[in-house]
Amino acid sequence: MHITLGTAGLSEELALRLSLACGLLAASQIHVELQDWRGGESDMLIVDIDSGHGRLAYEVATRRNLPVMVFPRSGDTTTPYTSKLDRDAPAATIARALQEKLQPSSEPTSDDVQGLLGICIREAGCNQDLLVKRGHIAMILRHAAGRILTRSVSDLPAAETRLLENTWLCMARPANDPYASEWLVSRSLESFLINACMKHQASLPSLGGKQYRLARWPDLGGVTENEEALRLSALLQRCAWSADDLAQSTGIDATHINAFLWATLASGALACADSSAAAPEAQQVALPTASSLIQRVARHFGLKLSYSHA
Amino acid sequence: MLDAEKTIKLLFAGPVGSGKTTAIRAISDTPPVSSDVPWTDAAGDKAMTTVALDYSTIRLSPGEILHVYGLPGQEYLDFMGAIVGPGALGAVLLLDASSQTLAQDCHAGVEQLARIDPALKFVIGISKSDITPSFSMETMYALARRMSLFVPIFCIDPRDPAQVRQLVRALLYVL
Repeated sequence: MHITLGTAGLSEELALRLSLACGLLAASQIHVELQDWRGGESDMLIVDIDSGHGRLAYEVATRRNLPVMVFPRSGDTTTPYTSKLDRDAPAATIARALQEKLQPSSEPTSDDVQGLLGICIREAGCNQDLLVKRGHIAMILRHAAGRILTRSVSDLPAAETRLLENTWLCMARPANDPYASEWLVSRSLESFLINACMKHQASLPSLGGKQYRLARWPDLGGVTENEEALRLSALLQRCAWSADDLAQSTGIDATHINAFLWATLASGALACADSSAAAPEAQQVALPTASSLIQRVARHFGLKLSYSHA
Repeated sequence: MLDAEKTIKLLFAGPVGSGKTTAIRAISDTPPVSSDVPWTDAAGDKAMTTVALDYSTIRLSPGEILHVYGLPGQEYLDFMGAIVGPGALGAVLLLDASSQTLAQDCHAGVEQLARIDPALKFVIGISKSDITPSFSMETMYALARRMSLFVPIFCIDPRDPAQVRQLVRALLYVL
């Protein structure tokens, strides 16, 4: 594996340790070329947030959705960078962190999706409104509020179509937004993400092996064409499931389940469960069969509840 | 007289202006019978308000009807819940995102339903979230956590039959 690592703002001492770490990676068949980053092409950036140049490079890389690893400010343990390096760690430790980043396990992570979905995943938990743009489409992501704002209704399906395109830009919404009066359309972010991920289900990496669980019901008010979302929500609320187990238990198409998991990961409703938890056997989860009365009511509302459900 | 033990009932609860009458109208086979009077409160676009209750029906099969009741939102009509509520399958609690007293409305609605039946299952629908820029779902989620509520909370437009049905579907999944 040959990669180019761009560096920005590193002190001499940090740069030396990084160079040693990259040398150690050769033992794992990872051959690294280090270069000062001036905005050109690199497979990944390594930046030191303590320096102005490093902070600027980080901002640019974030906007371009480039993979970046950060040496945080000295003493800063709270800023939620996606990938951090310990500035006091020896070269061997830095090498291990780089290797985990460059040769990840087979399980996908948030870095495996780009575009607007990648932004939502990386910014999950962000309390700040974000302005995202792609061409003529502009939207405000209010992640904590669970809302998405656009200028027109037609921007929503357009954004859904371009969910995974790697040309979305992301920035903090200005505190005094001069265009505040233009954001006329407000919708549920969660419903948007679920609908959008369903459109791209064939393109999303598989979350097959890990167990996930919903911390709460997702907002499915705007997901009226997707009965499976209700069923999956009911199951994932009860206990942790992997995508593969869900597919086997429910008969729902695996790519459909996968898309739902990605969407609820991005919205913050879904979290990875403790890997020590035993996978549920379908028959061990106490899912009562719907009574005949509820089945009759459900039939009227377009649901099939004759099987076990939550 | 309807036998409370044999009728299949679905309740809609929530404060005045949350969209109960509109939601019932959206999913019912027959226009709801409402006891509406002009609403003299000058605020908002609401012209009529329901006193007593809304009532409508949904035909499940040739011999079976789902009775849909909209409980009045006024506190002084709270006693209606005890009359029509017992034996209900479940309830939809509608809240108005634009209300200045959203948290109190939620508490009051949950308590009203608990007085009907402490074990009554319900879901929460939030109306007017699309026209309330300041509305945040995190507020609702935090409120639900404080109240130990683990129920579906959906933002819906009560005028949209598909979205109201989506709420009822979620209720069927939690029954």
